[in-house]
Order: sequence, then structure tokens, then C-alpha cells
Amino acid sequence: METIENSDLLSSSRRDFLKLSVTAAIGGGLLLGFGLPARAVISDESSTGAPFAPNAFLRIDPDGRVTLIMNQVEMGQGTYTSMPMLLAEELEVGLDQVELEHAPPDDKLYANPLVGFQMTGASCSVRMMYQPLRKAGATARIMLIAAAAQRWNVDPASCQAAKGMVSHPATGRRISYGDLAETAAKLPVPAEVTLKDPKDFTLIGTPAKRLDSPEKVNGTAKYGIDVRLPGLKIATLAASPVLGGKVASLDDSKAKAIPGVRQIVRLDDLVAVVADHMWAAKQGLAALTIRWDDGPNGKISTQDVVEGLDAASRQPGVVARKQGAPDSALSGAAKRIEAVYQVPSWRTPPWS
Amino acid sequence: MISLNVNGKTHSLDVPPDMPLLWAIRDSVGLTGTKFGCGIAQCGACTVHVDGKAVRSCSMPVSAAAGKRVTTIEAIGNTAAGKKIQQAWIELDVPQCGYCQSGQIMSASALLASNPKPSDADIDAAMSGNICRCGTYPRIRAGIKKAAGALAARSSGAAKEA
Amino acid sequence: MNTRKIFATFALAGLFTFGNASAQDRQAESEKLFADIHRVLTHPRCLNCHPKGDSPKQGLDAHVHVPPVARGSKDKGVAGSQCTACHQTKNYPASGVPGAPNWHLAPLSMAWEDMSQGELCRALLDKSKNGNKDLKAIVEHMTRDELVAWGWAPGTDANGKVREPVPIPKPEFNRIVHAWAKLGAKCPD
Repeated sequence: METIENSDLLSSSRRDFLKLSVTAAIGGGLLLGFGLPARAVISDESSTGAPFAPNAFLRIDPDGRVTLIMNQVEMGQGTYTSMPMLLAEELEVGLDQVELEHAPPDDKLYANPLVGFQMTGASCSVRMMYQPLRKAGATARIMLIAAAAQRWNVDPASCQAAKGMVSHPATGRRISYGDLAETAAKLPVPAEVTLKDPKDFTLIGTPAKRLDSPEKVNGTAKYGIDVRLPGLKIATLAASPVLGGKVASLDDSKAKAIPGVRQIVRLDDLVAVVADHMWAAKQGLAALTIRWDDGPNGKISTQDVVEGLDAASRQPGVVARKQGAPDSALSGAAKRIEAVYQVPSWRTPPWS
Repeated sequence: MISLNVNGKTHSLDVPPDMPLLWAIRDSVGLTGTKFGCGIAQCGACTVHVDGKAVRSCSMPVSAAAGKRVTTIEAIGNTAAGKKIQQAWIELDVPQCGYCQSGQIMSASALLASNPKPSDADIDAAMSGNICRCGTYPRIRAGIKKAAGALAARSSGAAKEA
Repeated sequence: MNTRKIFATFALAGLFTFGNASAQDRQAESEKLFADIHRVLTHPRCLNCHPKGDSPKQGLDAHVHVPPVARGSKDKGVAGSQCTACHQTKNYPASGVPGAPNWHLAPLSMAWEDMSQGELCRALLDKSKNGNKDLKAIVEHMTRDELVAWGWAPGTDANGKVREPVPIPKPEFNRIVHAWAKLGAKCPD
């Protein structure tokens, strides 16, 4: 098993990876930390030279592969297309030129600016990542142009970037991002970058094709249920059906006898069956005899909850916002309509 | 030991004969494209083909599939209908979260292989066993029709060449 | 007098007597037997797959089959969603899906929903409706067909609950069917 020592990170061959902090004001401040020591070790084993990775959101290998790292989870809402669009627009690559990688868990590197930790939700991926990802893409583009300009000994302002290539129109020279990666990786990361004028957008604002469709139609898209690691076991569990309830008694003798069942775990309020595969885990669960002590909430029914909510709703509430003169408007109205709408408690966790 | 032929390859599995085909495919053979959604034949996420016919693999014991040809989402693209369905799905960006789509594609491929020009009613009847929480139904319907058109174009093209 | 002759005389007399009252008795006995047959045939376990329309029913409350499925041109469902996509040759506790060999809908000509006893009886016996079965074949179908027999061993549902079988045990039902046939398979009005 590999161990990544601190000394490795600071050795001369790792000096290519600079740390950079950028503070951007997005309704509350944002700190983007950079530097990818762990990833550097992994990718170094496979590529010929050092990849260019000026920030946590993209990586360009010397073989030309452009990898975008996705910090916002794709659940069907389209982040795996919209986030790449933000990066690719400023980076000047086509969506057909990129590969996507799930960001690893890292609250510092991949924090959602709205909440300060790694989270996807609240309909805020595009809003929150609009500036940071464009900046990340623009930073890389500027460094790649600088690398080309350095190589050609020309003014960076005379160079252009498009579709993963830097060109020098005056002399007709062109060079790919892949060929610039090693050089760019040695350059300082600029603190300030200018983003594109929206009138120059070629990607943002266009109906791009989803990048995740192909893997979702051929069975290769991996969901939580599909994760396979060496020695991974599958567990099913029975939890107290009532909040605050406990396992009063457990007979797991039949479950233990099922081939493939490895372990029964008994906690205060749940019992888990750990097995080699799902069928054994399912059979094991069905073979348990559990007696629950429902505890103090055992007698509460849905009706109790409904009545409780009804009673509470008749109490004076907190004023969230006042606009106009509602009391006089209501009392002076020609027609008043009162209605009560009830919906059941709904939870909608994503599938998978 | 159960001998299972999946996507043209034979596997010898040491599994109980009453294990659902779904778990044999996912856990024993290791093909995770086929999904578990309910386990009780109510959602269609587990749909595979057995000898060319759509089957909810959660509701078939693996012993019943022994000696038959099992086809999963990983190989349906090797069939004419399956390939056209997958192409249409990509052209129209049918999936959203995508979890139901393996099953949708397997059912749609079975429909198209047997009925090259399905009507709306045919599509309703064939696909009502596959549910989609994201609500991609309109695009699924459009995808089936697009694939049907592509299949027709392909066969008429072949006829012209012949 | 010869004992045998006396016995024969009485036997003949008895037969004659029996023969005279037989038409009414036989009709009454037949109707009584058919009432039991009707009880079984109209129980949801049987009637759910003898629907008038395009969709089987499900459960003791005979709600429309969930998920929605359609009859198809051959009463076996439509491609992509055939009966055998879910229903296998045996009940399957793992999924709670009932099963029996050749799971399919009875053809529309054998749709018994909303039929009176008499209507059902006549439909049952009508060769143009019952798949060209003569009485012998009808009896065979009702007493020996494996899909019909499912009604007596309907398995457990997805919650592990045992399904209620048809109301008359199989050996008794078989006896009733044979007896009804033997009496001439008379129908109530």
C-alpha cells in the first residue's frame, strides 16, 4: 500500500505544483485552495510528463487529454454538462474534447460557496460555480497562452486560444494544449484573470448536448449501488420503525445460517446483516426476528401529527416579510376565500 | 452450480437456484448496468432479455435462466433495435438521472424488435412497466419513434441496395 | 320365486321411478353443483384473468393490474411487457409475483365478468367461445389444467402475505365438476 509522505510533496520534482489562494467575493467570500499532491502521484505514474493542473478543477496531460473535475454531483439536473460548459468556455476547449472526473471528497478544495462545504443542492450549482469555474478555466487558458508565447518568443497578446490550441495568427504557428502542458505547469499562476465578455460566448447560452447521456444508455454509468471495491461486502438493515425506538430482542440464528451472511451487527436502534452479496443480505434480513421497543414516540400516529400541526397553525406565527397592508386589504375585501391544503410528508432522495 | 449465458459468455455460478437473476447478473457476473429498483416487478429497472424476450430479472429465479441466452444493457447495442434505441436516446438526450434508463432501453428494444412501427398506444402498452421518477416519458416516447424511423430507413436502404 | 328375479324387478322399478323424477331432480342437483362451480369461477383468483376488457385485474379487491399491462393480440401481453416478463412458471416468493405454466389472459370469449350463473354456464359450454372444447375437455381443463390450478395455490405477495385461494378445496371442486358433468352439465336459467 502506498503512503504519500510530506517530503515527497516538497521534493524538487513536485515543485511544478504551486499553491495558490484566491479570494473571490461571492456573496460571502470564497477560498479556493489549489495544489493536488495526491493526484499528482497517481497521474504521474501513467503519463510521460508532468500534467498541467493549476487548480483543482482541471488537468491537462502531455498526451493532450483535458480532464475537468466535477465538484457538483450529477443527479440528472445536468451539472455534468453545465459545469464543464463554464470551464470549457473560458479554457477554450470544445465539450467534445474533455473528459470528466468526479471530484474526490475534499471540503476545502470543492466547497460549494453557498454553504462552505462540498454539497450539491439548493438549486445553486450554476449560480455558485459560475464565477469560480470560469476563473479556473480562464486561469489555465492564460497560462497556456503564456507558455506558447514563451516558446515562440512573442507577445502573449498576439496569441489566440481556441479548441484546445494556441495559435499565433501573424506567423500561422499553432500548438496544442497537450504540448504546452509541461511548460505551462512551470509558470506562475496569475492572481487576477479577465473573464470573457458574454458577447463572446461560444458555449454558454447554447443548448449543449448532455455529456453524461452516452454512459447512461450503455450501462457504464456508475451509481452508488454499483460501487465495487476489493473485499466490499453488502449490508441490509432494519431500523426502528419509530424515532427513538430500540431493539428489544433479536434472534439472528436463522440469519447466520444463510450461506454468504458474514456478520450480524446489533446497534441500539438497528440491526444490520453483512453479507457477500445482496441476495444473502436480503435473505438474512428476512430471517431475523426482531422485537422492537417503540419507546416514548410509539403511540404517536399520523393523525396526532396532523392534529398537532393544525393546532400549531392556529397560533400566531413569525412574520417573515410584510409588504403593503394585508390586514386592511383582507378585512376590506369584497370576497374572502379561506382554504386549508394538506399534503403528506414527502421525502425525495435521489435514486441510486 | 448454475450455468448462465450472459451476453454470449458462459458463467458457472455457485449460487442458490432461487436467487433472483438480477443479483446473479449484478453480484456474481459483475455486470452492474442492470439496476435494482423495487424487487417486486413494479418498476422495470431490472429488465433484461432472456432468449430475446423482455424479463424483469428481479422476478425470475436464476435457475429458470440456466441454459438460456441472457442479454443485458451492456450488450443490447449489438442488436439492430438496441443500437437504434441507444442512438436515439443520445440524440434526444433522453436520460436525466438515468437510473431507470437501462430498463427503459431494454423494454424499448424488445418492443421495436417485435413491432417496428409502434403507435402511441403500442408504446403505452409496452412501456408502462418501466417507471421514471425524473419524468423523461415524453423523450422516451420520442426516442422510440425516432429509433423506429431510423430502423425503417435502414431496412429500406438495405432493400434498395439489394 | 327366484331371488335374483325379485331383485331385478325391484331394481327395474326403482330405475323407472328414478328415471321419471330425474329430469327435475337432475336439473336441481345440477344447479346446486353449478352454484358451487360459479362461486369458484367468479372468485377474484379466477375472475381476475377472465376480464371483459384489455387489462387483467389484481388482488382480492380486483383492482386494475399494477403496473398497467395490455392484453395483446394473443392474450399474452405485448412485446416488452408480456405476461411472462414477470410471471414465471411457479410462484416466486422473492418477488411476490404469482406464477404458473403458460401465464396469460383468458380470451375475450371467456370473459366472465358481470355474468349471471346461467350466462357463465352457457358461455363455458359454448364451443365457439371456450376454445372448441367438448364437455370432456372442459372437465379436463377445470380439474387438471396447471394455470387453472394456480387458483388453489396462489402463493405469497410482495409482503409475504399468503394469498387467499378460491373458496372450495381442489379435491372437492374436482368432485363437483365431475358430478355436474355426469348429470349432463345442466345450466341454471
